[in-house]
Amino acid sequence: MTGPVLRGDSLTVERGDSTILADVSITVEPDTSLLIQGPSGAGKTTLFNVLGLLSTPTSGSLYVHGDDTSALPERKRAVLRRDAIGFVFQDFQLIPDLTAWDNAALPQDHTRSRDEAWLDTLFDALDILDLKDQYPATLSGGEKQRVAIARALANRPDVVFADEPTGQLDPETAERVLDLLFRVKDQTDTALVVISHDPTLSDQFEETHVLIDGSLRRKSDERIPQ
Amino acid sequence: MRYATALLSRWSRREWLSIAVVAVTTAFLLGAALLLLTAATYTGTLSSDLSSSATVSYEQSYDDAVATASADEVVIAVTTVSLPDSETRRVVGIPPDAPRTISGASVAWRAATLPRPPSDGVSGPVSTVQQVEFVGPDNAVSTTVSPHRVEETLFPDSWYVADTDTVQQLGASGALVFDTGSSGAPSAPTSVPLIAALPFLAGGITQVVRTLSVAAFAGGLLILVVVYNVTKMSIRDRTRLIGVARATGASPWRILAILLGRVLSLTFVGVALGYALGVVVTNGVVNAATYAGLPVSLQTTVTPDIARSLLGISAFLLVMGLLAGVLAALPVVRGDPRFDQTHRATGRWPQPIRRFQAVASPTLVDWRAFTPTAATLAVFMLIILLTGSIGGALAPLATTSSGTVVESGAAHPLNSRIDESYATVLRSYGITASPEVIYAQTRGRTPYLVRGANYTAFSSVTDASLVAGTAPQRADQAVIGTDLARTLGLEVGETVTLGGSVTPGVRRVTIVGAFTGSGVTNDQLVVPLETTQPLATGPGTVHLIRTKNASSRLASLQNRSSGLLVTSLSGPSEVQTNATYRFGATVRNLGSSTATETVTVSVGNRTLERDVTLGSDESTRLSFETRFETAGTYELATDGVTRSVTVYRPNTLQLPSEYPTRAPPGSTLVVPATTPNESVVSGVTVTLDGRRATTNDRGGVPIRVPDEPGTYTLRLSKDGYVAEEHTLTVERGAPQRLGGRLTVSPSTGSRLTNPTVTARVANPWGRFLVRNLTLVSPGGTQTRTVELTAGNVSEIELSASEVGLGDDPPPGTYDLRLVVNGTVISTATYRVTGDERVAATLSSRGEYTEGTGIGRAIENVFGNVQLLFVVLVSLAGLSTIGGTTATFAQAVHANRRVIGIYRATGASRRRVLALLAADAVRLAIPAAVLSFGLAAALLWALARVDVLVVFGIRLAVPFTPLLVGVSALGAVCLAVCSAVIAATPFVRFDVGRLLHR
Repeated sequence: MTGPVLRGDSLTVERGDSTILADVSITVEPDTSLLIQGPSGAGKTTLFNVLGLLSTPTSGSLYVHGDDTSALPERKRAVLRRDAIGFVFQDFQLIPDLTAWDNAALPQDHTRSRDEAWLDTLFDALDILDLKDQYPATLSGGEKQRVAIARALANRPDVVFADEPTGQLDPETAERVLDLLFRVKDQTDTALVVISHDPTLSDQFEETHVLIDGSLRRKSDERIPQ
Repeated sequence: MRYATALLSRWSRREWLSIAVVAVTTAFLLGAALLLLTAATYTGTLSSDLSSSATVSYEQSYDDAVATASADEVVIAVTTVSLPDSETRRVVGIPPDAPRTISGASVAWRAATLPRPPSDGVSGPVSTVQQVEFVGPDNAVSTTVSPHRVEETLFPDSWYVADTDTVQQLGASGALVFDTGSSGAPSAPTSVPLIAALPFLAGGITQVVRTLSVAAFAGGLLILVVVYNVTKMSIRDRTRLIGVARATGASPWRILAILLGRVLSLTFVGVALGYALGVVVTNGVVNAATYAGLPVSLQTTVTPDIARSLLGISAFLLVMGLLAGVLAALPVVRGDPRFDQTHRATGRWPQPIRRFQAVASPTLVDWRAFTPTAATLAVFMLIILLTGSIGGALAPLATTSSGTVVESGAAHPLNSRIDESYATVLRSYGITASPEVIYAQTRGRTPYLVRGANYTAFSSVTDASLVAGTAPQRADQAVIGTDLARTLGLEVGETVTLGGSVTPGVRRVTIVGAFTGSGVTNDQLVVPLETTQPLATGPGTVHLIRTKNASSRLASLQNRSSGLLVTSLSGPSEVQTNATYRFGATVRNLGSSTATETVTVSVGNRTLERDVTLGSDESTRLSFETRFETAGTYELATDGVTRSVTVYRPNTLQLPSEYPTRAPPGSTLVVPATTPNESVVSGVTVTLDGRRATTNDRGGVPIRVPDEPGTYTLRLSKDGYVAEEHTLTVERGAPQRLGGRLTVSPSTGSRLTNPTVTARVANPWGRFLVRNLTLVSPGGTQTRTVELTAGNVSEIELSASEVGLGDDPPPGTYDLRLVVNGTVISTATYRVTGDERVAATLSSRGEYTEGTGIGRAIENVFGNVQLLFVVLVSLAGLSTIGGTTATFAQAVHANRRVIGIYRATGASRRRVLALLAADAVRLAIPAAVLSFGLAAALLWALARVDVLVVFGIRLAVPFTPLLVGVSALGAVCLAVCSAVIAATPFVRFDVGRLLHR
């Protein structure tokens, strides 16, 4: 596959009189890792929603595989969310009435055909095979996070978005989760976009952007060579 | 903004939606209540001159009745005696100090008079004074019976009137206790008003209001469900606010109070809007109906009494809203403060249950929606079942096979007075007809319907069939519908006391049989016409005539609303073949407006048509021409009027039919030679016993009768003509009578036809005759002397009024005779048909309607009852949709995050909606089963305690497979539609908003 997976062009989101995102442009290449940093209130979650096709920007265009999504009907946007994008939400967003396994299989269920072997691979890789029949209420934060990662990868997306994946975890668990994310990214050729306020993360990512007051700046010059 | 303000304010779309639902529910309830209560007030003003508080009750023991009677009660001893002809009769004993009239029971047209016994003996239904032996329960008494005084009393004429002593001597079997009602003391449970019409209406309305309270309860339940759900959503949106407020020390009761303030203001706005809407919409419907020309006699005015009732209902609804608020708010003010919605953990179930759960459990909503769904659907079921039961009860009123004829222009069947004999008219046309009296009756506090009717006729126009006992044989016997027997607790063999309907009176009837029938038929007491007429309509008159299977006949006439009718056909009765036959049809417009119609006359197998336009009450004669090619008898027919024409070949000779067949020897006969249409033929050879003569140019010729007695042949012949032969018997002493022919034209007519009578007398003898000619007709006997020279003919024409047929003769056969010197020489018959066209006339002015009298009554009281019914049922439907929508909106709202996850992970809107619809089905099926059970149980319980009895009519829920199927399907559809409506905003929201709100 050639060309960027995702390209945002002059994305602007306004709520009432205030501008949450101002003219944000961003490109996500295949199989890269990208970190978006920013302090609280910078518009990180809004950017996450816009890039993940969860919200529609006030203006600007978002291209997935070079196709402009701004004119797409909701039906096609849903297909893109299902097949091209995976999410790891800040608060995991697991459905309490479903088991870990069924939660992870949710994106596959939208197509009504489960690829159990792939789920098995994912659960194995994430080391949660023995938790598959448990309900979210009985899982720890790190376990929930791993189920959420499995769900994000269930349909072999081209890009995975993770919103503060370590925000609710203790440093040790956070590190393990991040490692897992990178390992899975490497195994599945998926681009990884992580949104976080944690300034210590940037050294692991190929690209880092900083979002301040709705404006995005590339931080490549500050990147620490490995 | 202070947090209390934040909790109280910010009404979103769903708050306004809930206000709308509360308003619609309130409007529905208040609109219905307003109509019914206005109807109650209306009947009150309508019947102000019928108001009477006097009652009568029957006591088994005369002595006890006397002992317990209060000052304003009049006790009259009653007993039953056997007469010598083994008939049993009632005798009443009037105490000497009894008042002349029962005060308070008299109406303008009839005083409530107590009869007075004659000074000597008793009075009774006899024409002359006679000595009669009465055999009473205790003793036999021989007494003088004189005719009743000429006065109308409270008792029927068939009862004997004696003094108390006489009755006690015979042995009193009971007592009638009249309570003038002036004391205001409560009356006995079986007491009967002397004039029952008003208590009947008032009692019925009370029952309606009681039944309405069931609807109010259902409405309250709906409001509870809606307000609960909406409040739950508002609270969920403010979980954090409430949690923080409580965490920082706000008192739970203060928060509860604030939340209830929110609920109360929401419900109050809804109820207030609904109050206005209910009153305005109802007035609007009534005004629109009036504007459209419907016979609405209601004026919806909110009097203080009505306002009190409406405010009562409103207050009840407000309380239900408040209760909903408490239910929704209590969880967040009890226990620990919460900042976020919590999810209970789903337990681990064994594999088979989990598999079942996977199929049966909803995906996007949870089971907490079940209770409100079941409650709303129970209301929905209740509405369907109630509608079904009302429909079942009223079904006999709306059949198309039966119809009702009432008086022209009567605003209400109770105002209608129609001649009982019209039924005979209808029956003569093969239409089953039952003349009936609507007789309002109340027993204790229970109003019920009595129908004055001949049971045989009644059962022929309804589906009533006897299940016990026999049909009434006497005026004081009655049959009861099984449902009514249950409602009143009566059995076959019991005797009941009836009061008057609109005229004060007392009757005692014994129930000799029980019948069943569908719907309201089963809720009536059928009492012979002659018993009910004096106290309702008057002798010989009824309120209405019910018909069966007349619809196609009468309705086809009814469709001709023009009112144009052919009243007669006129023209010669004979005509030659191929000659022009001219005849006329007299047409009258009986309608109230100018009308145009095509009059069609069938002649043999041809039809002739002529257009005619006539103003109201105008009439004209239309001319028709036709020709007949072959000889024979033809019938002209139009609109039920017929006339026959004899067509003959032209060249036929004929003697008049009345030409003498006997003659004295040696007399002279004048032979008239004519064709059948009586045109004279000259040059005809007449032979009789060898004598021969030829007719002159006036067609006649004298011929001498042979001297020898015997039988001869009189022969008329001419070349080119068919000869005529006439047998003549010559005998001594044969009279020389005039020939006479009496004709009535037409020979059959309706009450609207004016026939003409023609008396034609001919002198066939060869000498001058003077005779006395007498015409005997319904109008009397008319005699005149006629003088006729030899061979001469005289015709006398008489109009209908001259022979007594002019003034609307009742249906029947009328004979006319022409008598000469004491001998009948000709007779004629005129038949007045019981008239289909009379019914047509009735129908053309709208007096005939399909359905029955009570249906009409309802229609007249409520104007267009169907319209209101539809409006009310739609409002109820809207309320239930609102209720289920609120329920599902709440359920979806509670799980909006799950919907967000589904959508974030790529589920399309359609898939989300499909999942929700499937959830709705999963919830609705058990909820429908439960709610059907609840509604059915509620109705069953209500029926057990007689709440579902209105005007004595027992509403029974018809659990037909169709009704069950429709309600189940309706419930599921309702749930699915509501779920989709409720979910639509959530699938339109940005996914991000769903996840992070």
